[in-house]
Amino acid sequence: MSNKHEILKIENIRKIYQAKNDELEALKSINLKVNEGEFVSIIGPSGCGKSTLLSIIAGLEEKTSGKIYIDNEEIVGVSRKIGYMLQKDSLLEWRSIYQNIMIGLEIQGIKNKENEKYVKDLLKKYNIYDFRNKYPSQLSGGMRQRVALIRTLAIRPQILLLDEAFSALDYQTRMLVIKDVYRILKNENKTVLMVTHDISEAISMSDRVVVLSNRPSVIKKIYDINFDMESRDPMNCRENPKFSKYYENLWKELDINA
Amino acid sequence: MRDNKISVERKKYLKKVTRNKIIIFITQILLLVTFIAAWEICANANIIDSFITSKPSRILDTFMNLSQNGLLEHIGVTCFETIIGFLSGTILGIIVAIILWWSNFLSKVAEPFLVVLNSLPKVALGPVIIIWVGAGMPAIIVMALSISLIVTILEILNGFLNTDKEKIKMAKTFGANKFQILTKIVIPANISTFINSLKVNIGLSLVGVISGEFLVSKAGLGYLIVYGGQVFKLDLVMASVIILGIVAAVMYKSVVLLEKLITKTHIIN
Repeated sequence: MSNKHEILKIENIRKIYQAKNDELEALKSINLKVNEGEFVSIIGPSGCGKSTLLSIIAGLEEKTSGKIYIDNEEIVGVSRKIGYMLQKDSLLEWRSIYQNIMIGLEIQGIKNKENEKYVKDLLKKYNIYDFRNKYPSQLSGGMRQRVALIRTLAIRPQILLLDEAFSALDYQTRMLVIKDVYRILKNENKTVLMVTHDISEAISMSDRVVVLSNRPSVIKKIYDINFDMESRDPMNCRENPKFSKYYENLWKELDINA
Repeated sequence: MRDNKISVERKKYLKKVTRNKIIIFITQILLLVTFIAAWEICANANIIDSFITSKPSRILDTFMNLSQNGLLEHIGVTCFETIIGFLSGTILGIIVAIILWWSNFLSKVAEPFLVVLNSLPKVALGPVIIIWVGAGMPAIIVMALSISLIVTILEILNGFLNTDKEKIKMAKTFGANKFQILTKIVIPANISTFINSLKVNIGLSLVGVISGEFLVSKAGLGYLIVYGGQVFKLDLVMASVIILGIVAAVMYKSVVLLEKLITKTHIIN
């Protein structure tokens, strides 16, 4: 891991929300480095600002202070190097699946032959090609989420942000989609930063798990997840004896009191 | 896709559905025929005064002489005014709604004015409009426009503002600017809002046109109704009212047809 290329660096990110009668410090100071090809999850108590952090990295929300670097280059606003996958698939029901996947390229004005071929290859590789002329309402929830992922990948982001991307799905579909997404992301060798409230989801997918504290948030601890297994996937690692150990530690770290 | 083999239960059910439809239709026709027959009989038997109520046979006569008494021309005038008022009201309404959606500041500023204008009975503006635009067709069209405009603005703006926030966020993650959000998300997501507002507007424009014609016109169904009332030609009044009903129904149906056409090409269910 030491000789790997550092792709994302977050420096002293701070976020204070201004409201009419009060101001609220969501993020105190967040520092994080992510290596290329790494899968990092962020967990934390609810309301700790983990989704805010992701929105800030994606450029959808302004930060109060701090800096974000991709490949040592500071980014401001929405960066084309970042893909963002949301909880809801937000497929546009008036567009066919293919048109839905093309929307990112359309918006960025880079809908050319080369990119179209890239998208078509993705579609073929991940078994969506036969559905490309169908409409979102004709697809199952799991399939829709896969389309949403391909839509995000179509713009060839270097870093992918997943914001509770699976929590809208029912349990069984979620397991399948997690496995599916993991396979695709590893296959495409993407760097991923994921926010989730689900500890086992975080462990099952990640190389590292970042635990945030209560508001105003700082990074409480970072856990390396290492199962020492060949062909690890989010399903089989759950049977590894280390899994429950990690779960226990993270649960204690979160310190949730009902 | 349904199975080709239809079970006995399914057959029974389908039969019941069709039978219900037929019964309802027959009842409706019967009701209408009874009403017209009773009207005619009562008028002939002098139970009601046909000078005041007219009677179906004389109304039919008026219909038959459509070309002779210039009714056709009056229908044309009213339809023309309604369509122009309707189109301009809708288009202008959409443009204003887009501007207000674009600028949060402007929409906040405009809000109280829109609310007041919306509750104001626009017919009250009739005399003012006549003085400003001049008596005649332009005044009638402005009247139709003023009745449908505010409602259109409010309804479409409301639809725009209620566009799924997640879809807009999705577009933003790709770096979409405001114009792209408008054309790629907000407008296509609001096709049904547009159609609903067309449906409401066609009725409202007709109200505007008829009240305008009551006030100033020399032609049109509204004019015929007022004129017929003044000279006690109740046949003409009744015939005009019936035609008005038919015109309104045809216009509404055309919008419904348009809706079907759009939803068919737009979204395949």
